[in-house]
Amino acid sequence: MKIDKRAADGVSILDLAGKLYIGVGDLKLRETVRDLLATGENRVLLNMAAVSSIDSSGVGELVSAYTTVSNQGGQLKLVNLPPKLHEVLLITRLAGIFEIYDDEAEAVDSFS
Amino acid sequence: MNRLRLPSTLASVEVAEEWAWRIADASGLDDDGRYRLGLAVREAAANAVLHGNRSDPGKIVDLRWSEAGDRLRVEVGDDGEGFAPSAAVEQPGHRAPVDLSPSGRGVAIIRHLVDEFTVTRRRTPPGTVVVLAMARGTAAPQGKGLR
Repeated sequence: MKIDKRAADGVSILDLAGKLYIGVGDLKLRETVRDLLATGENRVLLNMAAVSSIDSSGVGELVSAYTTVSNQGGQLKLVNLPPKLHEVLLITRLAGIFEIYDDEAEAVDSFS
Repeated sequence: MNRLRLPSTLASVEVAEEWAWRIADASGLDDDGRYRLGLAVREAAANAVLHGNRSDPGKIVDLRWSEAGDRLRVEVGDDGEGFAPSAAVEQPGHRAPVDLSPSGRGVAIIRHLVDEFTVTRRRTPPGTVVVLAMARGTAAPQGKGLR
């Protein structure tokens, strides 16, 4: 898993690419979100467009990221969720937990 | 290829998924079936490694596959408790409160991906066998494919 960071209008955007799987992608996401929060960046948008697959550990890490950011007074949202990932979030009944956007500009605006 | 024995390490989870892809290719599954079988086997193997064998590399995750008519059957065996009993016996359609804990979703994912999913405790030698079955060469079951 590769994670690139950029910013737009005070929102930290993480571009995730690859597989969000146990033992690799999940740990990298955890570290990246932790680093953001350490620098006070708690408005986080995960761009999932290039995530090719997710397993239950990856789903668990998304939930952990969401609760960690929320518990620090921030917000974590998702954009460009591929159909396979959306399906897994539906199966695990988590699709309703996350704010999910199809358009990045709209997602960024939603933080303000 | 009909049988694969792996140590209980996270690397074996990757190997198990790749093994499932080769089975899918050999069985003529379409791309969606290949994805579903691979992810289901991945989840079952991860549970066998982490929960069944508690990441003891000396314990084996035993994978087997067979075909019977239009059915593709994969077994994932471990030397321990396998899935948490409460998760394994959860019935389809059961509506528990939304769970924000970081783990415990593998069973729900497997149940959705394959046509049949059973968990059997084995006495000799002690362990758990998870059986996944799905139709091959057919379209994804209603509500189970990608849209």
